[in-house]
Amino acid sequence: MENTAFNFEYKPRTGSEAMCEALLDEGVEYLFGYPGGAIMPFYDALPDYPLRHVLTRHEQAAAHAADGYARATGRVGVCVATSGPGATNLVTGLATAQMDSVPLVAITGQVGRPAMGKDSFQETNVMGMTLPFTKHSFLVEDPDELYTTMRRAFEIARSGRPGPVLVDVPKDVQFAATVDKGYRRLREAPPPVESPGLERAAMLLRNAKRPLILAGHGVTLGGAEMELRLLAERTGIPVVTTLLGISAFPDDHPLYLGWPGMHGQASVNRAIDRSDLLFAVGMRFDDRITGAAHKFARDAKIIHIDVDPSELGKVIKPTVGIAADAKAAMRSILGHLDNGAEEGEGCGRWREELVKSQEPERRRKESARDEYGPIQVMETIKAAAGPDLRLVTDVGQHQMWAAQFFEFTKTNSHITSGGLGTMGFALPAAMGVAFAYPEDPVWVIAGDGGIQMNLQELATIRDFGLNIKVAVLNNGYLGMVRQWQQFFHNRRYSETPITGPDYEQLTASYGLAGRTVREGDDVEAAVRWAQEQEGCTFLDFHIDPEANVYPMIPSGMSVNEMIEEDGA
Amino acid sequence: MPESATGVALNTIEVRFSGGMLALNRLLMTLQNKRMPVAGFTLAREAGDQPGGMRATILLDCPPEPALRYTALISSLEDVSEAGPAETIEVALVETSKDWRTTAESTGIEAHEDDGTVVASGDPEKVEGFLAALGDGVEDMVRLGPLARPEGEAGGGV
Repeated sequence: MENTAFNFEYKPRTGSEAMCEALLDEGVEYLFGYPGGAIMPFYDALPDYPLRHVLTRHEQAAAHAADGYARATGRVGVCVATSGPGATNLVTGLATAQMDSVPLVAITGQVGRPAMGKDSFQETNVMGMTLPFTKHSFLVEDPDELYTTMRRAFEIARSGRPGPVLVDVPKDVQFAATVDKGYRRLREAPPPVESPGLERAAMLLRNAKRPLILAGHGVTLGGAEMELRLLAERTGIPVVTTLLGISAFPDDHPLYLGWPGMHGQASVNRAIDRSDLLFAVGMRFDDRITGAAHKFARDAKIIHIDVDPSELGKVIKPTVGIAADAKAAMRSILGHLDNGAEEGEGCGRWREELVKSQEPERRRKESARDEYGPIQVMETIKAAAGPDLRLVTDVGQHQMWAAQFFEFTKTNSHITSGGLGTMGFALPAAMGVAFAYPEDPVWVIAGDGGIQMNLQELATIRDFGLNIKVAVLNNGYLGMVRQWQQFFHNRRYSETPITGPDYEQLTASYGLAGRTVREGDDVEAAVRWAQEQEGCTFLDFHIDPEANVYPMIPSGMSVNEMIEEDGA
Repeated sequence: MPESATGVALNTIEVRFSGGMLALNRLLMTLQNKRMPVAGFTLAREAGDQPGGMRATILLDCPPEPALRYTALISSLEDVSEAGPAETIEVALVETSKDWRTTAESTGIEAHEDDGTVVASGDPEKVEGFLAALGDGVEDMVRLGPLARPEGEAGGGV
């Protein structure tokens, strides 16, 4: 009798299969992508593996969705595109991820090796094109290197300062038979932090009279929220965050002040200006935070902790610079602080002053609560969605209003494109968040400009039944640009008025539900309706076309030139 | 904050990397992208086992502190196996009838004569001092550099 157990033909795995196996071995659940000619072998292998592919309607959206997934989970997001236009469409998404240190692996198909360099159909040098804004990139020309390279790509993407990694794979390499060369880790985990700066930082924290902690995205990326809280509570030092640091520290904590910068709270900007010590952790002194760098926190000693050593001294020269992971560094500093009372002398008085300085802002917010406008919309959404809300914002005025007026109490619940400021980010990024946390309420807040940049993703959202709620603050303008035109270009509203579709009809055509809300309508009822509906709903809030974001520190200026209200 | 050229403070970084043209492209892109004040760039093939290994010597026209930061940035590139400071030298080829040996000794530079041409090399400031000391005695001169002092074995320029 024939032994059928041995009656099969040995078939070596193909490059595509090696790619899928590497994805599985990395624990990947979701891929966001769009197929095309040069990536077809990969897509042919994909159904044989337990990997969930999300077909977006544009490659840019695939990159943003992977980005949203990565930001929400801390895991590496994966996006896939074909060569040529597929690859070029990924570019904005990769740059967005690079600027905000988000771990991504982007897989692109490339024309076959014999066709490369010959201006072949859909050939483009995606490696060359993306060099400035990828952490690393690979063109895999040896099929036997494919599995190892894929694994390396993940390791590079998530290690140290995270970032996007591109893996470009020629079509014939995806088809080719491969031999596994084995995989070994390239770099060891970073050693424990040992730096004389840590002890010095602890000493400065102990002795400061007007200290502030300035926490950035690195705290979230490093999972250091608990250490941040411990440090703040142990020392009694008030906490401010960068835009991307929002939700690294609970907004309702008595030590939380808010966020500084171009559109940050006036009181927080002034607090930084008056501080004698700035403990900056996991942030990079972006120009939107510092304004004129030479005038920023002039009286303060600066402790700067960042995992990327090249950030230390790039913009602001630190008194103490520590190149370390936020979590490890703060743990070590906590160890250097003696047990018992660590609160610096006078810190209590400093806190009282700061609380008092925020009174006018609190009053303004209270009085605006009953008026139809951005503040009311934000507060109503927060109330309806509850504490588990995850908010994804686009870029522009609404982004600043959301950051100013939402209260983020859940860790890592605020997701936005900070460094690159990518309009069109929010809707696809929210898809990634919704896949990661299907049980949590996910809201998108966008402007009527940005939402139209990736509106096609409503089809993806519908197909997967994602429970994403969308609120558009529709002022008929590219609002932030209009505001700048108002302030700095004598109200010449050049090409900023913008029209859009009837969103109720548009969403209906996608099989989704939408409503328009105008002044005088019941905002609470509309938001509650949106929240209670099954699946994606869309609210189009028509707001004052000339509503402005205050305060505003004009670009390149300092807190002294801050514009706080109309006519100021 | 891009460093403005000082014209006086040159710091040399030596970078060893593998990965061939793609890696070289990434290195050059990083120099340009971060607006590093590059005053000189030389490239050599590495003689080691690593195929496609190269050594770049980069002269940065900025003070030591930002040069260190740029070195950290370059060393974080995945293709780069090693990046660190290197010594900067200047070479002068001089025709002179003066007593160049005594002058070289007193200014602390290395010098020898090759077919009637004095080859003087050393720290750029010292070479400057050597030439100043020779003064009108310099009949003809070619200056090379500042450049990095060659170190170890290299397979030749590329």
